[in-house]
Amino acid sequence: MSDGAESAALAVAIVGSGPAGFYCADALSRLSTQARIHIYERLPQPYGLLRYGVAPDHLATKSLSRVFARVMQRPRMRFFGNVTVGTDISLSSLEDAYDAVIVAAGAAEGRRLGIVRDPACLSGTALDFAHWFNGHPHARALPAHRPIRHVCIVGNGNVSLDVARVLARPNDMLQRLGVPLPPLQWHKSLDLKEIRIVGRSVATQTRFSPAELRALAGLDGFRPVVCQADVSLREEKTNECLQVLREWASAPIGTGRPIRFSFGMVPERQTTNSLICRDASDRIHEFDCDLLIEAIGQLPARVAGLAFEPASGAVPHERGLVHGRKATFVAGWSAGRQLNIPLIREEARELSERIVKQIAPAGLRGNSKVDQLVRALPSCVVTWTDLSNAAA
Amino acid sequence: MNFLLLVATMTGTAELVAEDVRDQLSGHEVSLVLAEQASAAQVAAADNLIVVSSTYGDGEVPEPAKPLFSALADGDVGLGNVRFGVIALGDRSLYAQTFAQGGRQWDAMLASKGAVRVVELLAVDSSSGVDTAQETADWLSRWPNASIRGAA
Repeated sequence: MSDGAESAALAVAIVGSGPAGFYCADALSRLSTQARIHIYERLPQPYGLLRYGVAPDHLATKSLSRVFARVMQRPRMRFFGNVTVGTDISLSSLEDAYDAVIVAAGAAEGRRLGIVRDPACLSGTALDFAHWFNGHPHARALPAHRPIRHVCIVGNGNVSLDVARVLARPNDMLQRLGVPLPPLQWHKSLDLKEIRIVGRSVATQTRFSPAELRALAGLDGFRPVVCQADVSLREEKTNECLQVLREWASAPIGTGRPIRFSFGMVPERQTTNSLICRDASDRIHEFDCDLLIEAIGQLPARVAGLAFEPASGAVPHERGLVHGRKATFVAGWSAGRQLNIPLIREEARELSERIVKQIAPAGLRGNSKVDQLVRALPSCVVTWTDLSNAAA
Repeated sequence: MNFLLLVATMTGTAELVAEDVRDQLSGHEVSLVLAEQASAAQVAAADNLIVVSSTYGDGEVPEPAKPLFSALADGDVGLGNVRFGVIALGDRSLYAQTFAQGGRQWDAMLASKGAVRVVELLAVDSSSGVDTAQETADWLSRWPNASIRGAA
């Protein structure tokens, strides 16, 4: 590489160090080996939803942090943790200094059900739950001032299965997995008789993945329970999840506390000890429920300086390029995408290719502004060296 | 010795393991290729083939690797001159039933096509927290006539 190319290398700021941000960093650093890639993270620790959103017992997924840590070892990669874009540093100053900015700020809060609730009822979102069990520094604790025997989880996707599985795990296993003390004590205080997964969709149209669903059958002291009526629908478009559910419906009654599935239910009201739902034939069902966990999706985190669509919370964009911007891009949740990890990786590669192609070498801004900006970062910034020293 | 290091990955984890293997094979001629960028002919021409494959979904081969897998499984490329070994990744803690199944499929397919297995399949449990680099180095040390860096 000639000196000329060295001095005019691509400089990219990535806002957010979750899977979308890190996969962009990975792809960009492979495509443009001279690129300077700076990751800005709101929290002191890296990896975003991989660290705080993925269930603590999803160890193989969590081990993806090894892949990202290796990306950080490449030259010209830097991590600035504990820096909030919009507070500690403005988005426009990043846009001014870097050749491109990628906003991959992740999801910040879970969607809530629009139901009637008695004032004293206990509820939280699956994201709150994941944050708390994963030691997120701003996690909201779940309440524990009443005995919790029946938990209802609303949602027919893998996130519901994660919550059910973690609730059903033995306390000592969660301890080994590094779950912090407050959620461990809360978990120990539960007097679970039953977990119920309640979904709007019918059993043929769930968003579970078969492998995740199957994992629910291997839990000590619990057993999945499915009503025959729910899975003997006339619809013969069978899928693998339906097959798993059918196996469970026709299994002999086993031992262990039930993890029940209720399909085709629209929640309407939560009281202190029940969840009231309506089915497609307008029949009312009342389920025992001391705690309701809502796993019905999440909303992208807002980043000051970017517009967002009110309904989805996503930043308006065209194939990743933010509307009205020349070189500001969005990825992952910020782009309104709710993808699994392989697809996040694929999209990050595509976006990175477009960025490298679009930003011609002639248009590069050089290093001086970036250097200036980095020098002016607040002193509370956590660097990769700080993290490595702390881990050693 | 020449090695073709074929990576079937969807998250980059198998690629990470393959990069370790490449480093451990230093001194040999190694080309690390993603399965989606490799051809059946390239595989057939390899003297020594190491497949590093994750497991996806319900015990499947990673999606991007499926075209190559099918081309090899359904085509008539001769693999008789290929010596191979497979490193299969999986998550035993959550998906015990389909653990390392993606790699096992490669192993069975390559053998059925006449390729010569020189080392038994190595199943790596990504949920176990073990040092995968040590595991692969030990495994590589069993490769006939190859000198390996980092082996115990």
